[in-house]
Amino acid sequence: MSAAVVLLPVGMVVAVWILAALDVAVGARSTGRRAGLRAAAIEPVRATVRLMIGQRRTTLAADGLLRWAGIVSLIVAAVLAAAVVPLGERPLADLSVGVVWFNAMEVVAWAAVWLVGWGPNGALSLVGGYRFVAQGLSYELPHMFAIITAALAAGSLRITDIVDAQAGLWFVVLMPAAFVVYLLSAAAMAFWGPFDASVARDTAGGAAAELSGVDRLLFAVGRRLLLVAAAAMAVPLFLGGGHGPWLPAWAWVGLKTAAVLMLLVWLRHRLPTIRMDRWTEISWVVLVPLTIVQALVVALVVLARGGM
Amino acid sequence: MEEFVPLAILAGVVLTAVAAIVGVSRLAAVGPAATDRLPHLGGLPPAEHALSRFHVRWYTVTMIFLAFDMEMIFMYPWTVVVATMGTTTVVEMFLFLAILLAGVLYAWREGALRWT
Amino acid sequence: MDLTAALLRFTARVPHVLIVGVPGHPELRLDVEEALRLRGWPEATGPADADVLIVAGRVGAELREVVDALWRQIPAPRVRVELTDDATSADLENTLATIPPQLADARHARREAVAAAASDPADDRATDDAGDGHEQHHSGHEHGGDEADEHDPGEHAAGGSGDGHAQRHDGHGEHAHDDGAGEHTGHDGHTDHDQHTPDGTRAADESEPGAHGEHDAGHGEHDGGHGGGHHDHHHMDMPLPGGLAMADVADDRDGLALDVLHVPLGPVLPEWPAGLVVDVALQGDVITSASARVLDAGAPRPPGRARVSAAVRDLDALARILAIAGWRGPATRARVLRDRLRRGDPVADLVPLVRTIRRSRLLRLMLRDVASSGGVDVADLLEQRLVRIEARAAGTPVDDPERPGPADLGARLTGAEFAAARLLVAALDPDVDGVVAATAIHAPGEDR
Repeated sequence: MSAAVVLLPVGMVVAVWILAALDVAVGARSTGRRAGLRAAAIEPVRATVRLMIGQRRTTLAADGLLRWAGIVSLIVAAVLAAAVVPLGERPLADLSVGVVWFNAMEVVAWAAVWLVGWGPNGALSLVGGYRFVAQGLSYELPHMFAIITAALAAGSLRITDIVDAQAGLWFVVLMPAAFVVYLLSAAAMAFWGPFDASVARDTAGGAAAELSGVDRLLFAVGRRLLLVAAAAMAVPLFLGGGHGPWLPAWAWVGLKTAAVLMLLVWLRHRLPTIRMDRWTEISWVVLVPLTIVQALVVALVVLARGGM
Repeated sequence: MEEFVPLAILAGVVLTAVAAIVGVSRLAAVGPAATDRLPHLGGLPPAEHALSRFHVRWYTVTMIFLAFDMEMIFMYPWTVVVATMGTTTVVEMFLFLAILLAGVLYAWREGALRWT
Repeated sequence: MDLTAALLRFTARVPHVLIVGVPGHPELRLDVEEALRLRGWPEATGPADADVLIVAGRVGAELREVVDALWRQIPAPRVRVELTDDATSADLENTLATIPPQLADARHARREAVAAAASDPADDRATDDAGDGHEQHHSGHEHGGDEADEHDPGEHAAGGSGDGHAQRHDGHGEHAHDDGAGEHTGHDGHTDHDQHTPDGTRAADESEPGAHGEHDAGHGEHDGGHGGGHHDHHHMDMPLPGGLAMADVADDRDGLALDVLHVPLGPVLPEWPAGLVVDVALQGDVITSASARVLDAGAPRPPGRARVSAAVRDLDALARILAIAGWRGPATRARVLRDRLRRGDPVADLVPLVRTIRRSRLLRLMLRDVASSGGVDVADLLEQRLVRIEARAAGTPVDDPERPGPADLGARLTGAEFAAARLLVAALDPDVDGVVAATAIHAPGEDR
C-alpha cells in the first residue's frame, strides 16, 4: 500500500501527459501541420514548464481562498476518485461502497469549478462557473443511473465485486446505453469537449479566464486528472476491469483506459460544444428515461438469474 | 473505518505534491505575483464588482434534480439487495422512478427544462 | 536561477499570442492569424493566457487605452509588438522571429515581472476620463518602419510599457501616488477627475462602460443622478476596492428585482470583430440591454494595404462561427482555406467542408432558434454563408450582401443569453472596418 499511494498519483500524471499528447496530435491534423509523435509528447511538457515559470496574477478584490479551494479540491478529488479503481487485481482502497465513493468525489468538481469561476471577481469567469453548475444538473443523473446499473448487475457497490461479475460477460454488452451515457458524463464532469462550455473561448476562457502561472497549471491538470479518473473507472464498471487474455490485469486496465481516453479525445475534436440550454432538455427527457429503462432491463436480468 | 485510512494518506500525499509544485514554481517563476489586476472583459474596465447574485434561470431544474438526488440515496443500498429480496424490490423501485418521471414529464411540458 | 533561463528558452518557442485587431485593417489581423497558425503558436483566450500582445495596425486614442490596459493584465514573461499599418508579411515574419529571443531573455522577463506587479490597476479606470493626453501620446507612437527594430527587450523595462506611454503615465501621476499610499482605493481619484473634467468630455463619458447610461432604464431612483453626483451616490458611504461599485438591482423580464452588471464586452475577445464594444447590462448571463460602438470610429484612418474580398470574409466569418460554437476541427479547416484563398492558392476542399458542416445535426441543434430576429436565427445566418461559399466554389457569381453595421447590434442582442449573443455577433460579422461615424444606439431593456 505504501508504494501505491505514490504510484497512483504518478501513474495518473503520466496518463494526463499521454492524454495531452494525444490531444496535440489529433488537434494538429486539422491544421495541416502534422505533429510527429515526439513533438506531440513534448508540447504538454512545454505547456507545463511555461506555466510553472510564468508569473501568477490575482484580480481586484478576488476571493483567493475560494479560488485555491477550488483548484486544490479538483486535484485531490480526482485522485481520490481513482483510488477505488482496481489498477491490477486490487485498488488502493477496496471500499464496500466504492461506487458511492467515486460518485461523491467526482461531484466535488461542481463546487471546484464554480469556486474557481467565482473567485476572480470577473463577470466572464462567473458566467463560466455557473455554466458548469447547469451542466452538472444535466449530466449527473444519467451518470448516476449508469454507474448504479453496473452495481445492480453485480449486486454490490464494491468495485472488485463488479469486476469479478464480468469474468464471463463485460457489462458493456449487457448495458450498452449505460456505457454510452457514462462516456458522455465522463467528458461532462471534466468539462472536456464537447462539454467544455464552462471554459469556452466565447467567455475568453470562462472559469479559467483569470488564472495564470501555476494556478492555471494546477487547474488544467486537475481537470485532466478527473478525466483520467473517469476514464479509468469505465474499465471496471463496463469493460471487464483487468479481465483479458495473455496480459496481466494491470496491463489490461492500462490499455483499456488508454482506449477510453483516446475515444474521449476523438470526441472532443469531432463535436461542437454542447450548451446546456439545449442539452438539459435532451438529458432529462431522453437520457434519464433511457438509463432508467436500462436499469430496469438489468434488474430483470438479475431477477431471472436469481430465480435460476 | 480502517478501509478509509489509505484514502486519507493518499489525500495527504496529493496535498503535499501540490504544495511542492507551488513551492517549486515560487522559486522558478520569473517574478512575484501581479496582484489586483482588473478582470478581463475585452480590455475595458468593469463598472462594478462581478460578485453578485447571479440570475440562474435554470433554478427549476435544480428542484427536479433535488427530487431525483434524494431518490439516489435509496437506490444505492437497493442495488445490493435486489438479488436476495426479489421481485417486490424491483417493482417498488421502478414504480417510485415512474412517479418521479411523471414529474419530469410535467416539468418538461411546463417548459421548465428550457430557459432560452 | 540559470534553470529559469534554460526553461524560458524552452518555453519561448511556443508563446501564446493575444491579437488586438484594429478596425480598418482586417488584412493585418488575417496575416497575423495565418502566421501564428503556421508556426503553431496558439491564440490566447485573454491576457491571463498570453505571452505576447500583437497589435495589428496603428491604433487610435480609444484603442490605445485598451492596449495599455491589456498590457497591464498580461503576466511576465511577456512581449508587446505593434505593427504599422503598412506592415507586409515579410515585416511580420521578421517581427515574429524576434519574439522568442525576447521571451527567452531571463533578465527581460524578470524586469517585466516586476513592472507587471508594480503597474497600477487603477490606471485602467482613471484613463477613461483622460480625454486630453491622447494626442501627444499618439504621436509618441508614430513608427516609421519595421517594429521589430524598435522593440528591443530593454525598451519595455521602464514602465512596463513602451516609450510613448511614459507621457500618459506622467499625466496620471496623482492617481498612482494616491493608490500607493493606500488610503483609498482608486475611487477618490476617479471622483476627483469627474469634478475636474470640463463638460465637454461628458459626452465621451456617456458612451463608456455601461454604468452611466443604463441606469435610468433600470430603475427610478437614479433618474437624473447623471450630472456628476452619480459616483458619489454609489461610493460615498462605502469605499470599495478599486473604486468599483457593487452590482445594482434592476427588474428582470419576469418583474423580479435582480442584480445587474454593466459589462463592456470587447474589443479584445476571441473571435470578436476588431474594435467593437458592446456595452451590455447582464442579469446572470442574460443581456437585458445592449448598445454597440466601434472604438476610434470617428478618427480618420488611412485605407488598408489590401482589401479583403467578400469570399475571404465569408470564410473568415465561417471560421469564427465554428470556433465560437466550439467546433475545433472544421474551424481550423475553414481558416486554412481562407488563408489559401487569400494567397490565391487553389482551394479544392471547400465543398467537403460545407458538407461536413451541414451534416452535423448537433451543430444545428445548438444554432437553431438562437438569437432569432425576424425569423432569422444563427443557423440561417450560417446557412446563408455556406450557400455563398458553395456558389463561389461552383463558379457562380454571387452578390455580396450588405454587411450589417454595428449600430444595429444593440437591439438584436437585447434579451439574448451570453452564448447566443457571442454566436450572433460572429454570425452577423458586423462591418467595423468601413469608416463609420458610428453613434451608439441604445436599445432599452425589453422582454423577449
